[in-house]
Amino acid sequence: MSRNLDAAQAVGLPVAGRQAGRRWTSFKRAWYRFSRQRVSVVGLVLVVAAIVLAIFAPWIVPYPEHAGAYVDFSQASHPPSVQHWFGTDIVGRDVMSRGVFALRGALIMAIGVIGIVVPIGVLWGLVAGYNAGTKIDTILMRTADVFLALPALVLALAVCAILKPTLFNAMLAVCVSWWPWYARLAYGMASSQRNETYVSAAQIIGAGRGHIMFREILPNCLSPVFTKMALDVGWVILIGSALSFVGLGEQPPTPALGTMLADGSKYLPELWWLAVFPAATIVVLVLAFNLLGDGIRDALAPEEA
Amino acid sequence: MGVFILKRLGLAMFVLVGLSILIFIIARVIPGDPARTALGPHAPEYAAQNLREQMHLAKPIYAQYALWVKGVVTGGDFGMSLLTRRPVQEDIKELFPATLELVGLAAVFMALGGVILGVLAARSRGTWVDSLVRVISYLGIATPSFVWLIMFVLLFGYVWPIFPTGGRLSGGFALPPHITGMVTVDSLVTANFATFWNGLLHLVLPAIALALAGLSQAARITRSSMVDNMDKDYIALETAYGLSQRRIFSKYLLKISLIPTVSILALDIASLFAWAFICETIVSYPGLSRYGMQAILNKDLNAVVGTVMVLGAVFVLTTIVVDIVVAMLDPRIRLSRRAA
Repeated sequence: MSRNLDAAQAVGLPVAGRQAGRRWTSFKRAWYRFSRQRVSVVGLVLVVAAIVLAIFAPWIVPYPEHAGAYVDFSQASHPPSVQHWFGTDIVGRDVMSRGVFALRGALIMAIGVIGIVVPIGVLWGLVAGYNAGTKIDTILMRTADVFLALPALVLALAVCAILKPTLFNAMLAVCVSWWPWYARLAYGMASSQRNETYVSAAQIIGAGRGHIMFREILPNCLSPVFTKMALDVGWVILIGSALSFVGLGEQPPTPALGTMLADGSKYLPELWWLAVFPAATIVVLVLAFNLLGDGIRDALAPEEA
Repeated sequence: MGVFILKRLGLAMFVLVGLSILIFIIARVIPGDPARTALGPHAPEYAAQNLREQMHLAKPIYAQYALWVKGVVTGGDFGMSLLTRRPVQEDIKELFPATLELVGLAAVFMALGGVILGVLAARSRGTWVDSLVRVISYLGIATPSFVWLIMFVLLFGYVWPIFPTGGRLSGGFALPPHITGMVTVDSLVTANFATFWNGLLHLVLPAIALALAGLSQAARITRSSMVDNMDKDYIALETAYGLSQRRIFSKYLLKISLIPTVSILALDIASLFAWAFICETIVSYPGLSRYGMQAILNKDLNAVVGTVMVLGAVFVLTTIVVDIVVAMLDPRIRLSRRAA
C-alpha cells in the first residue's frame, strides 16, 4: 500500500551526476521555483528566525536566568505586559524567555532524530532494494515492517517510559519508530533504479556492488529523501512536544514547550498566557517547517506540484 | 482475492510475533529491578521476591518470552497489572470498547470531513473556498491534538458550556447493560436515548480534537488526487460523450480519487489510538489509551506490553482491511499478479 505512495514520490529530478556545473544549475532552478511561492518563503524565514533565536537565546531574551530554576514570587503570575510580553509563570519566570530557550530542545530533537534516522533508514532500504527479491530483502524489509506495526507515538512513549526521561532518550525513542519510513522510501527507489540502464552499464564494465549502490544508485535516490526529511521535521517536533507534554522529555527546570503547555493548562482559564503562548509557539514552529517542507518538495519535484 | 487476503494475514502474523519480541525485549532491558520498581522502595523484600518469581525474572530472557507467549496463546494471559492489581487482559477487555468508541467516532469525523473538504476544494479549485480549505488543513496538521482538546475544553466546557468535559457519562447516568461495552451502542440497543445522547456528547470534543490532524491530511490528499485525475484523458472522453458533469464527478472521478485517501486513512486511524493516549488523559476518559499512558508513566510493564500488543493487532488488522478496500476500489491492484 505505502510502497505505491513511495513510488509516487519517487519522481525526482535526476541528480546531475558528478558535474558540479550542472548540479549548480539544477540547484538554481530549484531555488527559483521555491522562491516563486510566497508561503514557502514565509516558512523559510520563520524557520531561520527560530534557529537564530534558539542559538543566540542567552543574548536575545530579556531574562536568560529565568530558563533555569529561578524563583521570584513578587513577579508571579503577571499577565502579558511591556516588561513580560508573554506574562510570567506561577513562580515569576518570564514565559517568553523560557519559550525561546525551549526552542533549543525542540530543534535539537528534530535535527538529532533526522540525523540519526536518515543514514540508518536509507542504508537499510538501499541494501534491501538493491537485493530486491532475495532473502536479504525479505529479512531486512520484514524487520522494518515490525517497527511500523505500531503508531510512532506509542512506540516512542513505550521506549521513553522505560528509559530515563531525558531529551536524548526522547530522541532515541522517536528514532526507533521513525527509521523504517526511510528504509521503505529508499527501498522503493533502489529497487526501481536497479533496473535502469545506467546500473546495467556499471555492472558490465565491472563495477563492484558497493560502487553501484553508493556511487550510482544512492545519488539518484536522494531527491525524495531530502523531500521527506523536510516534511518530517514538523512531525518530529510534534511528537517531541507530545512526549514532553506527558513529562517524558526534557526535565524541569529546563524549559520544554510541551511541559510548559501541560503546566500552564492547569491554570486555565485565569492564567491563560501560560498555556496559550507555548501552544502557539508549537503551532507556528511546526507550521513553519511544514510550509518550508512543501516548498522544498515542490522545488525538487516540479511535476508533482 | 482469497490468496491476496491469506498472504496479508500471514504477513500480519509475522509482524505481530516480531512486535511481541521487540516490545518484550524493550520491557525487560529496563535498568534496575522491575519488581522493585513496581512495588516501590518501601515494600518488604519477600513481596519483591514473590513478584520476581511470578514474572520469572530469574530465568534467561528467551525463557521468559517463551513462558509469556505460552500464557498469551493458551489463555490470553498477559500477567497481572501492578497498578490495578488485576489481570491485564481483564483491564483491556473492560477498557478497550471505550477507546474503540472514541477512536471510531474520530475516524468517522476524519473520513467524512476529510473527503468533504477535499472534494469541496477540488470542485472550486482556485477560489476562496480552495484557499480556505488549504489554510484549515495547514493549521490542522500543525496543531497537536492535545492543543485542540485543551482549547475545546476551555471554549465549550467553561466559556460556553455546551459539552460535558471529563469521563464517559455525567453524574446521574448509569452505565447501560454491558453488551458491547460501548456506552453509545449499548444504550442505543436498549433504547435508552438519554444515556446515548449524554455519552455521545462526552465523545464529541475529544473525537474532533483527535480527528483534525488526519482530517486535514485526508482533505489535502483528496484534493490533489482529484485535481490530478481531472486532467486525465478518460474524463475528457466522458465529457465528450456528453455525460453530465455531476455524473462524471460522482461516478468516475470520486471513486478513483479516493484510493490514496483510503490508504492514508489507515495510518491515520492507527495514529488516532496513539494521540488518544494523551487526549483520554486530558479529559480523564476511562479508555485503554489512558490505561496505557498510566501504565507507561508508572512502569507497569505487563500492562504496557498488553496494551501495546492489542494496539499492534488492531493496527495490523486495520491495514489489512484497508488493503482489501483499496484492492476493491482499484482494479489495477485487484487484478495484478504482484498482489495476488
